[in-house]
Amino acid sequence: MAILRTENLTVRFGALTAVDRVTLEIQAGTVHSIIGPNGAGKTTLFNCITGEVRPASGRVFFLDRDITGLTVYQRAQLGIGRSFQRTNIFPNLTVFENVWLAAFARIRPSSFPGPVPRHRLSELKDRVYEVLGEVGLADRAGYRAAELSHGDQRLLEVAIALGLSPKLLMLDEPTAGLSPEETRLMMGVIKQLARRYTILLIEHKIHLVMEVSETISVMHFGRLIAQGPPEEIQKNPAVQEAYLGRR
Amino acid sequence: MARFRQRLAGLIPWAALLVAILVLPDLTRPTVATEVWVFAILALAFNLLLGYTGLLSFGQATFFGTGAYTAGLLLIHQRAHPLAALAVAALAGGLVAAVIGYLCIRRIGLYFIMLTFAFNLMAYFIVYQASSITGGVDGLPGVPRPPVDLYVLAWDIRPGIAYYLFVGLIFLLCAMTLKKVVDSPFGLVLQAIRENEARAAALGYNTAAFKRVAFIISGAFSGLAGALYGMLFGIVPIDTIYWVTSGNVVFMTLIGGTTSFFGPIVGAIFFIWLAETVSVRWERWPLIVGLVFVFVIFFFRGGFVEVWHRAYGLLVRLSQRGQPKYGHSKD
Ligand SMILES: Nc1ncnc2c1ncn2[C@@H]1O[C@H](COP(=O)(O)OP(=O)(O)OP(=O)(O)O)[C@@H](O)[C@H]1O
Ligand SMILES: [Mg+2]
Repeated sequence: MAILRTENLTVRFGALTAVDRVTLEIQAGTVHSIIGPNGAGKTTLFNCITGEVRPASGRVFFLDRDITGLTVYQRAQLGIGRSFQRTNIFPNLTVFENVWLAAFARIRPSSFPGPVPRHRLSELKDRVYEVLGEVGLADRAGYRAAELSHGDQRLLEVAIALGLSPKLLMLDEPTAGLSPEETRLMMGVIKQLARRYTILLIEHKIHLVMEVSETISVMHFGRLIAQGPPEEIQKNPAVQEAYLGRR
Repeated sequence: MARFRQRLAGLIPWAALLVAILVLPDLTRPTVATEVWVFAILALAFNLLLGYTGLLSFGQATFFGTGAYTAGLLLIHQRAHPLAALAVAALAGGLVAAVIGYLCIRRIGLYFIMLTFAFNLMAYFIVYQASSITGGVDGLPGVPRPPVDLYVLAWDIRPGIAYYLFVGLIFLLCAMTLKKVVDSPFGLVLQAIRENEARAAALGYNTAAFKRVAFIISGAFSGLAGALYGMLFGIVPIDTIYWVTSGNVVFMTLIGGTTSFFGPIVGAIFFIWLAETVSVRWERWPLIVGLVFVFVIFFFRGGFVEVWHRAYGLLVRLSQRGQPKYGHSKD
């Protein structure tokens, strides 16, 4: 079953067509990766799926529902959770609060300022520590997010997305800017998640992509130029020329 | 044990406030002392927007004035129960804030600030024009202070010191309520919006709706403060809805510190003290206000509260010299 579907999605920034008629299907329960050179339009495609950027044309369907006209928060409420390529956290709140806000959004995103039942709060707390444990940040729970090292902030970035318990987890270059050691840590985390979530992953670290993905889509100048299982993509001459060959 | 100590530490500011409420009348006239807590409510309400939600409202006098005139008119014409007058004033402040907030929140940054200011000017003009009801520039005179009738007993709040205690009590209730709000899940979402609105939206929060609710709460408490102000002097001066009052609230909150809950209270105390002691001796007192402001902005962005934290931090460091620091980050 396709959990997410895009139909001829096109995004323009002035004269630049950042995403060009992209038609894509993400199967539930799989890890689907998007690769492509810098500036290929991967992040823009993400932004268009989550609602941060409006498409010039085309449609987005989530669980067979047309969500093209929905706002960012409405899509998040439907179960789309994402992390950002550029760390995008709540710097002056604690690590615990950062993830707590995500977990709380899942149970009550409404702006009603009423009290929350006690048992709900303790469930939330458990959930937050569970997520922090998954990414290995449990011992940093009380730190201000801004105090964390870059590597830990990247982990927090993923943890916030996990806190949402999303039906579709979208990760935009989780290993961006990480040291080799931190990268290994992050890869371990992602491999763990791969079993339990439907993941749409943007990643430059090709060996990680090859290892975890069921399907890989390749973008180049806004277009999808290839799609298929890792072995096929590796052999595809167009891909080698556009992306792999440059390495 | 740690939790117990945390609880105890949380009680210290409240104990300090209680002491302040009790000793202040010994230091100054009852009207001045009363004014302190009225403006403290206003500053706390304002800081829900500025410090917690990251919204600089330059029109807080709109809600303050709305409350003052609403309560004043009710007390004059309806002989309303003072508590009923306060409740309706809060309601009116919240209602006006709902409308103005709804319109202003569609814009961000400077445009948002200018809109709140523009609505403040409009509100002033309406009150100015409707002089047959509001008294225009001369203010609304003859606001009575009927006893607080609680069925079993009637509390006569006409004497200055009785009214002072009445206001002090209401201030404490307001401060405790607002503290509950900022410490609640709702309050944490407001802080998330302040920190990073785009990310808060990506989590599924309708950030505009949260800001609107924050506006309504802030407007309601501001309206309540306005009502107390009108009852204090027996007249609602048109200044209550004038933009300078909005500016004063911004000033006292910034100077007290927006990053802590109690900072704005300190700012309000300082501001009223400055206004009352210096202004009677020297009419150019706004100059001092300006100088203090510049000094605080340059050296203590966190306001007076930061001064305290820094001094405290220095003391701790001096006393713990050589001991390893606890809780530093990895790098
Ligand atoms: N908000 C924007 N306004 C104008 N141009 C933009 C905007 N966002 C992205 N672009 C442009 O669109 C193109 C695609 O950018 P995008 O960030 O989607 O690429 P990417 O595939 O994620 O690249 P990278 O691997 O470097 O992250 C780039 O040329 C970029 O400069
Ligand atoms: Mg990108």
